[in-house]
Amino acid sequence: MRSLSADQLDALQEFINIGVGRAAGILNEMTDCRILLKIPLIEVFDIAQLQQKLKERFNSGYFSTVRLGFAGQFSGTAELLFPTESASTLISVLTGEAPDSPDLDAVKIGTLSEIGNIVINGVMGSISNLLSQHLRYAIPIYLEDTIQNLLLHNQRGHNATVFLLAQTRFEIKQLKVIGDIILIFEVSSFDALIEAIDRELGVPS
Amino acid sequence: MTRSTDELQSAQAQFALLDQIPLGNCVLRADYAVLFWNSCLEEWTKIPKQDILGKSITEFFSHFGQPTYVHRFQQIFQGGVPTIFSSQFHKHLIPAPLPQGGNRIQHTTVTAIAAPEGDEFYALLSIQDVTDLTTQAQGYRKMRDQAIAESEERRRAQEEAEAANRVKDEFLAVVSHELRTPLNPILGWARLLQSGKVSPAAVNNALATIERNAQLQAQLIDDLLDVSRILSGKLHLDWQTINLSFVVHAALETVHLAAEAKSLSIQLHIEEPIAAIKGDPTRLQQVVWNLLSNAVKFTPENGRIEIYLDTTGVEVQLRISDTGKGIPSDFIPYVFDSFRQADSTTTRAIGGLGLGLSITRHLVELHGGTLKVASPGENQGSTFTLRLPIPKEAYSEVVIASGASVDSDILTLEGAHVLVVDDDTDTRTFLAFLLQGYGAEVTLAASAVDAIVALKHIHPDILLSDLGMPDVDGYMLIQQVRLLPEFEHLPAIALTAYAAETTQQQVLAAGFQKHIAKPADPTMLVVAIAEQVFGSSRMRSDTRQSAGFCQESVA
Repeated sequence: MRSLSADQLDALQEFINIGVGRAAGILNEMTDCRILLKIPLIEVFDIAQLQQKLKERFNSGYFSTVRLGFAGQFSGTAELLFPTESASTLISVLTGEAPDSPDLDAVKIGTLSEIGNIVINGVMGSISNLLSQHLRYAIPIYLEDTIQNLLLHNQRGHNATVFLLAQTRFEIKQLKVIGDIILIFEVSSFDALIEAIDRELGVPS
Repeated sequence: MTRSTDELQSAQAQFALLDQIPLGNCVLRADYAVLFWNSCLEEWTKIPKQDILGKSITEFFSHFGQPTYVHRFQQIFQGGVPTIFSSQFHKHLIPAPLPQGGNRIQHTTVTAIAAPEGDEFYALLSIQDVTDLTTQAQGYRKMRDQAIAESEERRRAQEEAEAANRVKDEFLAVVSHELRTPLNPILGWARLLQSGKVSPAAVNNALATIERNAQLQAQLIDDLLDVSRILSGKLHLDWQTINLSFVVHAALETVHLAAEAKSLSIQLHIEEPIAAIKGDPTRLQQVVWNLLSNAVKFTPENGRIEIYLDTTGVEVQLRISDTGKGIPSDFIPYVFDSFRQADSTTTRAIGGLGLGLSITRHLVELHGGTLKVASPGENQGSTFTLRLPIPKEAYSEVVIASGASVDSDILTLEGAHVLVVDDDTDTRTFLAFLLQGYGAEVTLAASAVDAIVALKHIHPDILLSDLGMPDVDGYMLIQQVRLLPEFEHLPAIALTAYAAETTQQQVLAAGFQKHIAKPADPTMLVVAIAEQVFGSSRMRSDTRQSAGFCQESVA
């Protein structure tokens, strides 16, 4: 697995933060809430490391996930994971539903789908800008499962698959709510991404 | 315009397939012109294709012009990532009214589709109707919540049942302890007396101890039987017209000694006249005795007990106040609970099962009355207030002052010949001893057969028979006796350990005049025999009025 230099990571982090920032803007507009989305750190893993990392952090809990497949110069899946607790907080803040509201389940899927979609769209927009190339997208899907099962779909075939893990903090200032969402990029043509980053950094290839 | 018309026509061909699927579909150009409008949307919105095609969607649904939508659609028109509009944030992107009111709940996904020419992108809206799904999910959720609530309810009920069982187990533990306690001195002294090693001076003390403890145990058993009858709803009242002041007097006499021993002052305030009430004299005396003896029990030496009896409109009210140890406010709600004692250490220190008040309240309620308790707090005394309803009709009849005590010194059975039938030798011996002590002539029979023989031989004045005997029991005996013409009207008293009311009815129906529960109070037994033989309890002194009855006129 090719690793990224500190400069490359920095650049990638900046690009993703721009995308996430744009997503926050849309969320703010939609919900009249000052939402701050920030990715303090991006890490690169293979699947075993990623599973280990997420298990350490979240045990074997359930996650709500929005997944988007993309293809083009580089292909993969962008996945946004909401730990259960963060998901409830976000939904109740954004929709005004109390976390124990009987209708929350009905509300949940739609709400998380859209929020996940907005965040992923922001990040994908940033990345396709970076690559200056158009990507083709699959229809976003919503899933609920354990980390283990969610990552299973990645284990077929692509041994060289690289995971970019971006733990994102969301802060809603006036409500003093802080939470986690996790952005995972499963990239099967990592080289294309690294080349694009190098171009951006002015490193001759 | 020509471009527009061509584009519209080619769009109809390009997207014709979307008419065949159960989603609402429409295709927008970057200028918001509607290029395609599928038949599903026609049906949902009631807007036909020909009305909307080629026109801006904002003419029909103005919110498409709002910045939120403009920004996100802009991304699509540039070939960006598919965008989701959830029903939660966007209620109804393209409102589709439902016949029953409201709009369909929609989930919309917008994807970018490359336009046939140039590098433009169209926006394809795919609208999923999730109305039924949402309703169903809510229905299932309600069912689930209900099931959870029901199982929670069952769990709670089970816990309550288990708790009640625990209370009963604890109660049983206390019962067996309390029943055993009086047995120790009884057995101990009985063995010592048999050994002949007791000095004559100590004999009286030993006998007094045995008697006291036997009485205590009899009381415990009575209480337990009462509780069991109350719990099984089998407690029946022998309704009579009574004056509560007699009941109070009688009860007072029974606690008199105990009160004197503790130097308690008891003050009785009766506001005559006291209206007559309907009730079971024995049971009401039990109620008053219980309240009084509690007051005596829980009031320290030199304390004061005040009894107020008056008539208030439709009720007779009895208040018993003491300067005793009172009741902590948190225990007041449980004072009358069955199987629920106050602090068990206190119960032990004072003795008894703590069943009295529970029985008392049940008895009062059976009489249609109320029993309330008030206490300012621990060590500040307590006041029990008993109220019993006055029956509406006015009458004048004999009012029984139940259980009026009789001075045993002046009772006599002289001239009475008693035939005692009991299979238990000890009981026979005891009865012979007792009755002879009051001057009666006593003949003993160990079985019903012996009794019939003796009967014909000695012609007694009264038959005193046990009920439970082997071979021929007391019921069969009395039936046989009544078949003999000369003994058709012979007074007969049944003595039995089965104190239930059903037995009482059976006993009287079988032919006995009276039924006395074992262990019988010797004085009561003698009084009963005297009443049966002489018509009333005959006393040695003629100046004494006969106890038990008095004439009372009631308005």
